[in-house]
Amino acid sequence: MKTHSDPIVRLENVTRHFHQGETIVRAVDGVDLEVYPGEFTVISGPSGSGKTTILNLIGALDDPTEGKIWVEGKNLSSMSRSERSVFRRDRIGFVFQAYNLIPVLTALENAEFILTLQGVPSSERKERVLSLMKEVELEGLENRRPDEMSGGQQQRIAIIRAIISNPAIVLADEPTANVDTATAGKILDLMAKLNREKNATFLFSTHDHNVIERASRVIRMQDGKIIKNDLQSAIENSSEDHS
Amino acid sequence: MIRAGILISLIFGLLFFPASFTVSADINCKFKGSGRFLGMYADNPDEGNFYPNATDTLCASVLRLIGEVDFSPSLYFEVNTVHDWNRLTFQPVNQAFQTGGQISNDYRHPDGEWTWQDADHDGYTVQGVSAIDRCFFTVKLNKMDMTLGRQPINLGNCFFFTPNDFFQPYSAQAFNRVYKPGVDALRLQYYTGQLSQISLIGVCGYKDHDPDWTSSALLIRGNQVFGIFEISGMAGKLDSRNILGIGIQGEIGNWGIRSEMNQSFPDENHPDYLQAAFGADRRWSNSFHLIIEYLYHGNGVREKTNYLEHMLSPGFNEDPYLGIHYLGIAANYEFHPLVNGDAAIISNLTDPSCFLTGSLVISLSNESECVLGIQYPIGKDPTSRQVTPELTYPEFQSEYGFYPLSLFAEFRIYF
Ligand SMILES: Nc1ncnc2c1ncn2[C@@H]1O[C@H](COP(=O)(O)OP(=O)(O)OP(=O)(O)O)[C@@H](O)[C@H]1O
Ligand SMILES: [Mg+2]
Repeated sequence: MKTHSDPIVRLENVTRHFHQGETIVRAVDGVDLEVYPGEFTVISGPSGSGKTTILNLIGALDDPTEGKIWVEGKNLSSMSRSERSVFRRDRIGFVFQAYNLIPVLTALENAEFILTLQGVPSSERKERVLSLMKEVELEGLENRRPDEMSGGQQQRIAIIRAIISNPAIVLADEPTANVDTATAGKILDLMAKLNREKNATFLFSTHDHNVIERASRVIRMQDGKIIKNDLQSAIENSSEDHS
Repeated sequence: MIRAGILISLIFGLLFFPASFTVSADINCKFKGSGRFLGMYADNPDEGNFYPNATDTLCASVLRLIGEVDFSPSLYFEVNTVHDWNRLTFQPVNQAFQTGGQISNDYRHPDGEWTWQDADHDGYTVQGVSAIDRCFFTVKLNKMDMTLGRQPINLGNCFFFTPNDFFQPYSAQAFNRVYKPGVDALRLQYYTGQLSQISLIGVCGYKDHDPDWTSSALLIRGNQVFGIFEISGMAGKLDSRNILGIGIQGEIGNWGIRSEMNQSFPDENHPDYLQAAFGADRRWSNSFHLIIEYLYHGNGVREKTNYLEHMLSPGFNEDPYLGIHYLGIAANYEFHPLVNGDAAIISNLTDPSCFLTGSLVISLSNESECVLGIQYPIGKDPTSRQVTPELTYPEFQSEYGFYPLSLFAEFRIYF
């Protein structure tokens, strides 16, 4: 079913080398990968295997040494610097492990920040954010500053910020690494719900087994290479739910 | 319906422009208009979120067609349509700083505006918009006037800082103030004496496409001349706040004195605040005209760290100041009967930072002129703070350091 649509993300023989003194680190080494709309895919692998590097490449935060990357059919390397920043703002949602919110803005203002930059009118922004906050039980926190919220609450606001402008894909780098298991569960519930109900596509990296179990596909990396790329049965079931 | 109205007014306009004629002994019609051709170049601060482009450009042509009809000495009608075609590279988020000082608000029904072209190209957009800028009747009775429709309402007296000008105000840096845009309103004026009057002003606000009480305004205003001063007072509601205001205007010696202030009482979630402006101006016999104004902006914020939040708040477009204390100074001088120079400085006294404007108006004929200008901000640039590998936010170092430097040239023709 998924193979009928065009991939959102396509990597063709992508390599990213870093020079560390005399040695060359092959952070990503000849990777081919396609991600389709509606996927809930995990990249797992040991520390240093290249998970963050690959997400940064897909998010146009970094350039491959070799190979090509397309997102929504657009070749990232053909974009100018300002095109890339607008592309990142409008088409990619990012969630990082430290849920860095803007400290001088409230939860609501943080969550709507991308929409503000896109010029969406304030009444519409507020409506969209508040309805999502309500769905994830963050109602009533809209006027809190980041330092007045728990880590899990902040991370959920960061996820709303990533998802609110309906990006093509959300890239999440270890979104549950800094929170306890119960909070991680809530964060996953939120992402799974957004995946199911809004058909948002997620690609995230994690070490967390609880997260891996819930993914529709698990990509395992080692030394910059993909060593395993499996559709999980659990996910097959969940994708039937929303098809 | 309204689109048809715009079209009809266009066709009529073009048929009769420019013309003034008498239909019958009583009815007198006048058609006139203006054209503006504007080019603007902006060199932006280094702030990638709000200014994705290092520089921006705008070209615009604005046609205005105006019809004025005196049906009788007691019945007047005016329609003013504006047709704007522009090509701009600005992003929606920074247009608030870029529109040459025009501020929009919600007191106009959105159907009175018709976008006939809206194309997104790589790096720029092309837009064509027609709008009914004014369309109203005035009925004059013995001691009373009534004006109904989209009309300009100006309750301010000052030049730069007009806290009492609630409806489609100009921002202090506006360089074109020829036509004040209208708002959808009913205004009743009752002359209680030769030097005094009371008016009732109702302005309709909208939410989505429907009239909405919370967004609307209802004000009662009285003014009275006392010797050399005219004093006005007003009270009522504006959007979600109640308001009390005073205005004073008069002359002391060679100086014109102007002042206006209001106290706002917003809802329970927001503190009350005072906005007040005081100004003086003098015109010398050699044509030199000097204006000095001070603004106390009680709705502003004291700490620069709160500027970002204040700038993103919904009210900022109508009240585009971040800080508390402002000073404005303007000078105008006629260098030659055909050449007029303007210079102005608006300064945030707390930052401190300021915004300089200079322009030359060159008359080309009785009906046309050319304007060349510069807007030059002086203030510390914002610092970019990284929150995630992909997201930064600007940490303000000064208010006007966040504005672009811009150059503009405009050709205006009146017919
Ligand atoms: N900017 C850089 N300069 C030099 N080497 C780098 C750089 N970024 C990453 N690397 C190296 O590339 C390899 C892959 O790093 P990456 O951060 O992608 O791993 P990871 O799978 O995300 O690890 P972790 O699970 O610890 O987050 C590592 O060996 C790392 O040291
Ligand atoms: Mg990593």
